[in-house]
Amino acid sequence: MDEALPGLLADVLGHAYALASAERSPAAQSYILLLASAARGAVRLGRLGSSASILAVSGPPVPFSVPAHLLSSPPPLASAAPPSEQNVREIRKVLALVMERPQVLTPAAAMEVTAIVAEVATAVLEWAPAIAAHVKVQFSGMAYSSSPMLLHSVLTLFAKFPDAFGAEDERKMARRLASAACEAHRPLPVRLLVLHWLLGSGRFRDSVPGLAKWFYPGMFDPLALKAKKLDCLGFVAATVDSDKVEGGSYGQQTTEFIDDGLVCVSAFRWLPAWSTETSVAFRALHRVLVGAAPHGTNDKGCSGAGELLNSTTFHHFQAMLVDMASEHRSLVPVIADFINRLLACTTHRWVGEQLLRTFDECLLPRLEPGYQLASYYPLFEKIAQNEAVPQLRLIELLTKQMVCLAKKHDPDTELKSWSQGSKVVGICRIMLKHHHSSHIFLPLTHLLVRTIESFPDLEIRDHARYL
Amino acid sequence: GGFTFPYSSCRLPHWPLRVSGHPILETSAESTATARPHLRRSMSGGGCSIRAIWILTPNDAVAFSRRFAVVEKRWRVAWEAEGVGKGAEMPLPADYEVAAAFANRRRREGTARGSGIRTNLSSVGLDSWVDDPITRHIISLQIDKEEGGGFMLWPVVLQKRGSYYVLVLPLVDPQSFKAFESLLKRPDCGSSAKENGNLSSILLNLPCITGAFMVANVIGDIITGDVAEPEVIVSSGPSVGGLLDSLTGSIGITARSKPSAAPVAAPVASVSSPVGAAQSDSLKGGIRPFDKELLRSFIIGAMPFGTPQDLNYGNVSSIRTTGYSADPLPTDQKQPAWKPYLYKGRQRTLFSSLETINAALYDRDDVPDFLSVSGQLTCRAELEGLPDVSLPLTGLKTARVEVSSFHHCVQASEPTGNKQSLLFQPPLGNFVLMHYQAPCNIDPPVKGFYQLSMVSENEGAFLFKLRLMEGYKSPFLMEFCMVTMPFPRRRVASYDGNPSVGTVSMTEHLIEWRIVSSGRGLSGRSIEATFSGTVRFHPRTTQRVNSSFRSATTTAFAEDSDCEQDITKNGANLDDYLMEKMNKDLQAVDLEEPLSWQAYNYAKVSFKIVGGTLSGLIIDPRSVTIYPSVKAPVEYSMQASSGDYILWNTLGKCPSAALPKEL
Repeated sequence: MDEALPGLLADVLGHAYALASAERSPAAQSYILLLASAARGAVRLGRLGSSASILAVSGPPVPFSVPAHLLSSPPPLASAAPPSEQNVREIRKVLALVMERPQVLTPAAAMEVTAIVAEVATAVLEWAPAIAAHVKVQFSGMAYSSSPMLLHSVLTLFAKFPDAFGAEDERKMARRLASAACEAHRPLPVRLLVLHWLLGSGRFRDSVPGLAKWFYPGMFDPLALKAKKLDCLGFVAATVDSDKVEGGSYGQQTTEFIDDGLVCVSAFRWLPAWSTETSVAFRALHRVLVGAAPHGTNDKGCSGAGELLNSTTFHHFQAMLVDMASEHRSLVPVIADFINRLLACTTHRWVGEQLLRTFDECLLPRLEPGYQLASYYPLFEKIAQNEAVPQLRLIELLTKQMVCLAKKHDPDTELKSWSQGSKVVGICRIMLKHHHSSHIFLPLTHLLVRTIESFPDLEIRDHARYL
Repeated sequence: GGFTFPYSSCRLPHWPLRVSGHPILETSAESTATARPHLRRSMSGGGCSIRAIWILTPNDAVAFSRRFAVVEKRWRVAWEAEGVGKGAEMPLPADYEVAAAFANRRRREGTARGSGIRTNLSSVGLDSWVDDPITRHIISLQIDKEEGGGFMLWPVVLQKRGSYYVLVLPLVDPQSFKAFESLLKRPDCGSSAKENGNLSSILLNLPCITGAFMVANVIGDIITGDVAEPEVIVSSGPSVGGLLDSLTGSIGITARSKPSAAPVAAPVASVSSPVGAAQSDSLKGGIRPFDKELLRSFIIGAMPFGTPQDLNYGNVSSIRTTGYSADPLPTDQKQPAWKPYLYKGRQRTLFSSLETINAALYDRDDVPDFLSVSGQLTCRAELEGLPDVSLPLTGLKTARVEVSSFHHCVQASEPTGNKQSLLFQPPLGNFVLMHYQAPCNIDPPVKGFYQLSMVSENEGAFLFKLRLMEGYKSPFLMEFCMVTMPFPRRRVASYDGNPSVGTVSMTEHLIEWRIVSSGRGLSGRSIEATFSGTVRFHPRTTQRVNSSFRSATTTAFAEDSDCEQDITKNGANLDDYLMEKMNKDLQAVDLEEPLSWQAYNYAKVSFKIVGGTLSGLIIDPRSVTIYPSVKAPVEYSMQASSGDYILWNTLGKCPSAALPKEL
């Protein structure tokens, strides 16, 4: 009833206190919860500010007596008067009883109690700052519990009583969270959650880089956990990398974090491109990039763009993607999707374009014409679409490809050369649509002329497509 | 919990998208601000209340539902404070609407849980758009209204148990709800933890989600009948039963012995676990009807009016059937809520160390073996009254214990060097006093290698060379040991070869080698076991299976057939060629799996060892003290069993993970 009609018991707090302090049976927990809830009601109603004692009782509690404030509509405004000295004392007395022995509570009840204690104590903290230390003493042991509810409750207290928990506590707590994710007995969602809590609070972020060893994904960690740990490693890498700009001496460590982390899903290089390992690996790469250059708050800016471009991480990235593309053709469509994702983002479009330029500079020279080149067409299309990427190298490669196709063209390979050749023409068409510079005109003409010479019926069939 | 105060006159400004307004992140600034007490009340703060619970069948029908009107009222009031009519726009949906929304989600996300990672199929508004694996467990449902004006239901905690889906919807504050909504609608390429309003900070701010997980967990246990207490082993005789036995014991009924199928003694079940993981869900449980009355009465006792108070099934059900104990308490203390009765009878305390070892053994120079032990210390304290038990732990450093966590009744001292002392008032029945992670501090119980090489497309030659229990002295005893070669994607036709020790059998998809069988334990000596032979498979029939990731990308890869190479011509490895060929049909595994098992050849070892621990962490029963002092024997037993204990084919591909360097 007190939950349904908040403040119902605010006037009989004294009775609730008497009941809760006298009860010794296992039902004591329920009385503690009732007292806590009633105290919260009293605080919310502004009773602390009144001159009357909140614990004062006038006669026995009468069933079904509804307090006046529940009947008035609209509800009365809570008093904003500072609490009276007496009531600060009394509320401390109530809190002392509620917090007396958290060990006798079930984890679910302890979660409820900490939530209420946090709210009530915060309301009088200014007049009784010692409460924060008391709360810390009584509840911080819960951080070492197997119960995730207790662990999360302690985190709530961290947020509510920032002054009670110092830098050392923060460090310990951050370590606790990082290590809790490595406890195999915990259900997977809980292991994921603790890492979220770690990354979610600004108070732990400074400690995260020091915890890198906990984020190394284990061999038998579920892939979801591997993905989340890779997020954390990416976070560490991004943090360490930006520190380095300011004169740190981490050297190659950032890229090591990324490489080491990816070992646990390294099968993505040879597994089919739709494998979960592949998704996890590319998600991790994306996180590292976005971690180094986060989206701005106003949808336009991107902090850290310049730093990212010059960072070790990014150079490493470029090299990694080029190697991947040239060594594992089956990954090309995945890489193309990855770049597409960046290109579609207003903040990170430039990263995608930079990567395309990298492919133009470093990947294209490595590629040889032949039937296998077709694997790279998805990437070529991306390059062709982009005005920010030079096209000459691509045109040159495609011209070589046309020559090669024409050479191999015979009745046996007719269908294959047609299918591949028309795809090349398709890429040329994309290029024509997106580039209006005379720069590409001549080499492209050269390529198309050669194509028409080799495949005389092309012009008739595809004339319409160019228009 | 600390929820938006319904009749607060002063509200926080509307929050959306500005993290500077994020309740939990801003507290530090706020607490020093002048005290307008009700300003702080708007924070979500903590606590856990449940708006509704649904249990859905695999056919998207609602098998069970429960709503909590009191919590729903708080939801409405909180939204009314946000603006007129908002609460009324998002009422709890009807069962059929939830079922339809769930089915619809499955359609849009590809699977019931969703992909958890952004794919080509993801679009703005889908959970997978958020690109975080947790969205497989915390989902949103889009409720469509016939008259238009649908809304989102979030956060729905989802748990798949047996073939049922348990959905638990906790109460959240409007600010967090809006924050998630805006995250779903962000058009960019996906946020990082460094950005404002990220998913992590939303989850940190919502303990109710954590609570909802525990609720879903226990409901899942109840509907699958998985409510057994943790195991405690007695050195002489069978394992001892749980809370109910404590009760019956106290009124003069002798303790039942547990059914013989204790979890650790189920090698057959554990063998199949890494194989064909995608199917494992459907194997467990089946569509077995569950006792709805039982569940209903549990919910009434466990979370009156929607606020969880005790999620321990044993406690809640025994209080419900028997009520509280009426015994006068021996001292002036409060009786814990998790100990509704006091034990009466012969007094004793039992401790068991139960360890599970995971191992990846490679027998390669370039990849180090990986071994890790996950252990628990379980306890059953049959002690009268409400005594305090103190247990000093020693050898923590020696055992290189990495992490430990404790039962909520335990007060643990700060670990100093090698020592830590635990003080606790034990609950009734069996409970896990402590969980820990440690490396394997002695030689692995099974060492050696496994080689498999394909001599033709349908025939492979294999060789095992193993050494068991080297360096293990009595009282270590290996109760059984079995090696399995799973071939989930091939059908085994026959095998040849005889092992140096043990017996071999085969089924359609695996070959099983029992080296040490139950009843003929191995103790005080080590043995060498070798097994070489050939295995023949039925010719392969191709089957294509769809999966969430697959469908996203299949089209993009159709191309590849254009440029397939004939590897065999180049004299490349036949094994690699066959593997690559098979991998074309490989299904993407769920994110709950550690790796694509089917892409590798391996052998899995299962065993159980009693008489010692692999971490080396043991307790000294003589150091246990009980206050007030009683004469009660303390018994202690130890057991270690294999979890994922894998011998990777030395001649094939193998997965690995990098180990952290000392930083």
